Amino acid sequence: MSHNKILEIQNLSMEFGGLQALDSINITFYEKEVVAIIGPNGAGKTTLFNCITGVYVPTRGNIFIQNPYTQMKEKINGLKPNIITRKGMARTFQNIRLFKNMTVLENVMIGRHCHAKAGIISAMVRSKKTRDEEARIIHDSRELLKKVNLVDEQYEYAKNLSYGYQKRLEIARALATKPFLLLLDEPAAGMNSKETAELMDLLKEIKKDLHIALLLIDHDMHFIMNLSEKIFVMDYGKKIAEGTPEEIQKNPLVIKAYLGENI
Amino acid sequence: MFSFKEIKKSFLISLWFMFLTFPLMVIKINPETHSILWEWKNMLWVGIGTFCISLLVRFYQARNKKKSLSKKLFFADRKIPTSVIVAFLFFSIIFPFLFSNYHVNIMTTALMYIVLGLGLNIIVGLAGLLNLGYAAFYAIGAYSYALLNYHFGIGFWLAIPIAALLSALAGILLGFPVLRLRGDYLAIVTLCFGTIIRLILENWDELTFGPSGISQIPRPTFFGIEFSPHNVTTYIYFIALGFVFFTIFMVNRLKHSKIGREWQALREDEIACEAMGVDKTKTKLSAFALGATWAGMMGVLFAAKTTFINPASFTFIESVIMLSIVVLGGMGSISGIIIAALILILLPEYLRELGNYRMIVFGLSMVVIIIFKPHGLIGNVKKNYKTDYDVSQ
Repeated sequence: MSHNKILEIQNLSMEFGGLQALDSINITFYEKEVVAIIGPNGAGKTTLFNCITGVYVPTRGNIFIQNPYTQMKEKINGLKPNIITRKGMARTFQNIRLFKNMTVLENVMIGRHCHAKAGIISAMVRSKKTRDEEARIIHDSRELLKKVNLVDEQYEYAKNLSYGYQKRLEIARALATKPFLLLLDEPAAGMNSKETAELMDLLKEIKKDLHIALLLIDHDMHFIMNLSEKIFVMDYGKKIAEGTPEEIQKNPLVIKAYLGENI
Repeated sequence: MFSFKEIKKSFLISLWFMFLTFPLMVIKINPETHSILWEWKNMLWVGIGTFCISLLVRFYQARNKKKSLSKKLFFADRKIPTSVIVAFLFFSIIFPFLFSNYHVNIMTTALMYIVLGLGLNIIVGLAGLLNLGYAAFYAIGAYSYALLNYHFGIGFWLAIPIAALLSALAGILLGFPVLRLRGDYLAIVTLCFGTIIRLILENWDELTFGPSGISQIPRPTFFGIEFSPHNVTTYIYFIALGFVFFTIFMVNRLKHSKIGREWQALREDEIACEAMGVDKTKTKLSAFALGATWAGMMGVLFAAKTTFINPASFTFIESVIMLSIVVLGGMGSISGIIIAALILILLPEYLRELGNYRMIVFGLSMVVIIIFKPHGLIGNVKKNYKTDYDVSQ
C-alpha cells in the first residue's frame, strides 16, 4: 500500500458555546485506505465530519488535504462545502438527503455538475460543446448507476425508492463528484442484515475499482470490523484509541468507553 | 356509499354556509319603503346546494384515494400530444383576425401574464424561492422604458434589452440580502421589496413623476413604421405571442440544463446541494436575475401597450396574481402555467357580466381547482435523458 497522505487533521477543536464537541483531534489519513470512526452517541463523530466537509468552521486547529494526483497540499478549514467537494472530498448524510422530487438519474447528474463548465449563456445557446458536455454527464451518471445497481430505476423519483436504494443512490451521487476520499456518515444505519451485506460488497467494490479512500462512521460493529483497515475511537470529543480492528477489540479503554462487551 | 358520519359532516358544513351567507342572501333592503325583506327561501337553497356540493367533493375524494398511485402518475407525466399543440398554435395566430379589438386586448394581457408566470416560475417553481414582490421587477421594466423614452427618446425595441438588464440587476440586488432566507422569511422580505419599489415610485417626484404617473408613452413601431390605433392592438398581440414562444423555448432549455437542475436541487435540499459542489450563492442569484429579466421585458410591453403607467399598476395584488398563476399551474410545469394564466386573467374579464358576483365566482373556481388539483393543474413532466450518440467511443 502506498503511503501518501491525503488528509491531515491537526489539533482540531470545535466549541459550541461552552460545549467542547471536539478536543484537539489529530488524525492522518492515507491514500486508498478504509478508515472507520467509532464512538458512543454524542462523541463528536458527526461534528468531525462537518468540520472536514466545511459545514462548520473549526474553532482551532488545521485541516490539510493533499490531492493524490497532483500532490498539492492545501489548508481547507474555513472553505465553503461546495469548494471542498470540488477539491475531492464527497460525503453522504446520516439522515438521507436526496433531491426527492428529482429522478434518480438527475440526482447523480447534480453530483457530476461540479466538473462541468456550462453556464447560463451556454444553457440558452446550447452549442455543440454544451450538448457534448451534457451527454458526457448523462453517460457518466448512468455508468455510476450501473455500479450501484440502480440503472433500472433511473427515471424513478428519488422519493419513491426504498430505504436501501436511497442509501445506494446517495453513495452514487457522492461518487459522481469524483472524490479521492468518500465520507460515509452511518451508511448501514437502519438496514437489515441482507442490505448491510450488500452495502459491504458495494463499498469493497468501490474501493477496489475506483481506488479511493473511505471514511466511515457507523455503529454496526460487524460491518466496521469487516470493512475497515484502521479504526479511530472517539469519546467526549477526544480520540481515545487508534489501530487495526484486532487491536481495537482488545483495547481496554475502548471496551470500557464503548463496546462494553466482548465481540 | 356514504357513511352516516360523512353525511353529518356535510350537513354541518351546509349549516355553516347558511349562517355565513345569511346577511348576503336573506336580508334584502327595499330602498323605497325603507323596510327589510326576509328572504328565507334563499337560505334553503344555499343549504341544499352546499350539502350536495359537499357530498360531491367527498365522493370525488374517496374515489381518488382508491386510485392507485401509478395511475395518478400516468396522468401527471403524460406529455401533451403534438396535435393539441399545433391546434393551439394555429388558433393563437388566427385569433386577432377572428375577434374584435376588445378580445384581442384581453388576450394580449393574458399572454403577458403567461410570460410573467413563466419568469416567476424560475424563481418560485424551479429554485423554490418564494417571491411576493415580483411586480416590482415588472414596475422597473415599465418605468425604465417610460423614463428612457421621456428623457432620451429611446424606442421600444432598444428599451427591451435595457429593461431586461436593469431588472436582472434589481434581482441580484434583492438576492444578496436574502441569500440565507427561506420560506416565510423570504416571503416577507420580497413582499417588502415590492412595496418599497412602489413607494419609491410614488414619492420620488423628480424622477418618476409621483402618483400621477407618466403618460404618452409611444406604442411599439415596426422598423420605424407606426401603426394606426386599430392595427397596433393586433401588432402588440403578435409581439406578446412572440414573447410567449421565446419564453417557453428559453425556460424549457434552462430547465433541462445544468443550471436548471441545480435550481431544482437547491429547492429540494440546500445542504445536500452544497455538499455536491453546487455554488449556492451563484445559483440563487442567477435564479433571481433570470426570473426578473422576463418581468422587466413584460414591463416594457405593458408600458407600450397602455401608453400610461403609474405606481398603482404595480401593487401587491399584482404580485399575488402572478404567484397564483405559478401555484395554480403546478410548480415548475410550463403547460400548467399557460393554462393557469389564461384562467386567472380571462375568467375575471369574461365574468364581468355577472356583475357583483364576479369575484365570488372567481374565488370559488380557485377554491375548486385547489381542492381537486392540490398540486396544480398539470404536474411536472419527467425528463427522459436519451443521448443520441455514444460518448464512450
